Amino acid sequence: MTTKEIRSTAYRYIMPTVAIVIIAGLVPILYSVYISLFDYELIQTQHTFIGLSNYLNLIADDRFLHATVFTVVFALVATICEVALGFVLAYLLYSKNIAPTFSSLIRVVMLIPYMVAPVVISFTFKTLIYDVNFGYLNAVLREIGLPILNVFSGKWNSSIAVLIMEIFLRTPFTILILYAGLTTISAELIEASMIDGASTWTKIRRIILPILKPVVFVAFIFRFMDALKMFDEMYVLTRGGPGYTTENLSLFVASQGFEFSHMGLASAASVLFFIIVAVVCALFFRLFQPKETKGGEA
Amino acid sequence: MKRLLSALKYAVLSIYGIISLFPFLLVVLTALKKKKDALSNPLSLAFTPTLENFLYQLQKSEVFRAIGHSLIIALSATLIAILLGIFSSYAMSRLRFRGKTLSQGAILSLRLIPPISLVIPYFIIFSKLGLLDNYFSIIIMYLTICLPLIVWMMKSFYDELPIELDEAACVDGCTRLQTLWYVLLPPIAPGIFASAALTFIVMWNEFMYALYITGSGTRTLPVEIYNSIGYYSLDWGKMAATAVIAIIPAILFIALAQKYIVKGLTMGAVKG
Repeated sequence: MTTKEIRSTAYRYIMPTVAIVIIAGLVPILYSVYISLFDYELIQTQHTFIGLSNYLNLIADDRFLHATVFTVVFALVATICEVALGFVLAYLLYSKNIAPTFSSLIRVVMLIPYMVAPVVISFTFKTLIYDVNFGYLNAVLREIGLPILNVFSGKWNSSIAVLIMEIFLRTPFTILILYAGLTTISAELIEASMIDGASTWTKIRRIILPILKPVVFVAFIFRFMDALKMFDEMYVLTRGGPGYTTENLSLFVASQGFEFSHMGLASAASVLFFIIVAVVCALFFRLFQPKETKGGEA
Repeated sequence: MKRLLSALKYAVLSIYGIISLFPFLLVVLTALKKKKDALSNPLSLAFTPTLENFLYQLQKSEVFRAIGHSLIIALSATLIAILLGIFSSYAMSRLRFRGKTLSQGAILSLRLIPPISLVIPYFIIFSKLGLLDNYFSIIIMYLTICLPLIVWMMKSFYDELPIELDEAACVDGCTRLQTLWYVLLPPIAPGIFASAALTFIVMWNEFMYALYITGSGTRTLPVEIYNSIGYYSLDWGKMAATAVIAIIPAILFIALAQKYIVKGLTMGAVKG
């Protein structure tokens, strides 16, 4: 087959997908950039061009800055916890003195929180576990004589409550990936180190972690990217409250756009959000991407 | 010492397994309880199980219709993405052409866009076109999630097939389409089914797009669950029953396709 023919087949095969990606992904983003230059209120029919005012207003807005910092810090803390905890659990699941059937049983069970809709899990936590009067958390606290804890008030309570739920919800993802990575390490290598008398700690630090680096990186970057964009859990559990202490950028954009109908401002914020995600992720690739995966596919 | 260590490992893993099941158990137990029992002590096993919550919810037209909407939307988005994915992943895996890196990058970049950044412009566009609360609009939006997932998963399946397979088919006189259909697709079919199942679950669980773009005629199950939180205030049994219905596909999926999950979640970056 000639190159020309191959090329025309390739275009025929890939065009529909690329066309949808451009129409459904790129066009709305560009439209959003356009809207962000207007004083666009949902309820009005006339929209005046105001240049970069929306952006300038955002940069001066404490609430936006808070949401930005909260988004990045929360995502970072959650991701670090999830990767660390995920590694410990994956290592236990992989360790030799755990029966394979037990290990695979746990790996199936842990998928339940991960595959169930976040809305359902959040609803469960909000009502059955965290509820002040009827939740199980306070039932236990009451039982052992501790004061009642209202998760939905105070400066830190809500953030920690969301963080705990997020770790519960997402750690299975890091376990799965790190476990898959661990199983690719050759058994001879581990045995050799044992014969040389390496302690468990040395074995993990000097042999397993260096080999696992690319996999850890994949787990981290995928999880981090999604944690930055997190919406469902916070929307259901706290809706950004109390005040706007747990408001991340997704919730900020949503409330500006749909509650206050400032679509222009919301668009500007969502454009900045996109840029922040891209920059933070690029930064991570720059700083931490292991050499082995550089230039590789995906 | 060694026995103690291994007992400790078992203990930690068992506790983790129980924690993973705990909220799920709570929901199922609550769904089986009458309102009075559900509020008094969530974990208590001293109650007479009742299916009245399930029957009540399934008889309610909103819940029943929400299940239907969810099925229609998630299935259509998944099927369209699979159909497009079969061809575009083949091109990305097997053919050389100008703009390949660019189109791969474009598909991948969809994953970088925060969903809320798409919701705002889509909401304006669809309300101008009168397409809010319409199957078409929500399916188009869901394709932005499905396509990167499916295309990259399927590309990794194609990549694993030896190129000799194509060459042999070519020598035997197969056209490109015949090679794709008769030679390449059968061995990767289980993988494709698993990708489809994973994508279906992700769509079935999706909340944000559905919250803002769907209305009473297309409202999906997660949105219905969210709306019911305020509506029933303290009648948790009914909400829990809806939640249990929403969980079922995920459980089925875990049972059927768990070995493909790793590849799916990392879009082929890590082999499971």
